[in-house]
Amino acid sequence: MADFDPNALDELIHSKLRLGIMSMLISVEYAEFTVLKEKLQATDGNLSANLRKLEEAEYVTVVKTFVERKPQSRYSITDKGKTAFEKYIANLEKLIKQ
Amino acid sequence: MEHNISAQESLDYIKNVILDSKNIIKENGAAAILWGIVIVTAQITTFLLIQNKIYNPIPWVWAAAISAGWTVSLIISRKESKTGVVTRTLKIDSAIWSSALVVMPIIGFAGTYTGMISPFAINPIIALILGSSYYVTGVVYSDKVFKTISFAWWIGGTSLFWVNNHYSFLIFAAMMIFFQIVPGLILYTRYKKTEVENG
Repeated sequence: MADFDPNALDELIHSKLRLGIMSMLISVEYAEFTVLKEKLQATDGNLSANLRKLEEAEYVTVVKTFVERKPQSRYSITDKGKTAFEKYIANLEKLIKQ
Repeated sequence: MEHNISAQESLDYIKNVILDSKNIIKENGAAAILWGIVIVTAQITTFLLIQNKIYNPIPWVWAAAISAGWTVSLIISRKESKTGVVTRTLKIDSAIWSSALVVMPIIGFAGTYTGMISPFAINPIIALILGSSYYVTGVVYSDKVFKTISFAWWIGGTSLFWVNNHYSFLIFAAMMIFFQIVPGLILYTRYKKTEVENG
């Protein structure tokens, strides 16, 4: 089993929580903050900080809305994020084959 | 992974998260059961009305049934939107069923009102549309139950073209019980069992 060569991988995705966020968002239309928190077993602060990094890189986008007067932050992956994620997986596969 | 996790472990992690995300919302059969009950009621009522040569209330029976079905669908859709996540499979599934639920009443009402379609041809056509919708659902959820149901609807629908009388409504009601309500109950039981297992 080959270990990572960190230089070959996108550092923005190369973190367990951010990888979890990207993996989850690639398979859904959108996911609300609390769903991401529950599924990835993250704390509010840690999740917010990592989501912000992905937002700043334009890998994810957020829509803030109200559902029955309660605020909801719905996150979804952008085209740029999808491309970056696909490239990340391709690099992982290359590393495995090495 | 900053802690020497291997590339293979990372890929496995991605795979697990993706699979888990796809399973967030599973078809629970509630819509199938409720729509099934509504349509069975309307079919049997239509059969009895024709049997007793009372024709005027038939369009109203169907208008009430379709309205009740749509109300049920909207309630279920609102409940699902509260889960805070929409999967691509759910989006495709909702799209195919919403379009079917628009097309079927148009065929039923416009087809019979204009005389373009015989009232007894409505059920076979609807059965074939249901078969196609079930097939798409089966494919997007990779579910053998739905795929099997689709074939049952297609075979049943084709057979109904040979039933050119009001017994068509009674047969369709039976098909709705066996090909929709019963599988819906199986799905609902399976969903509840999974829910209990997941706490």
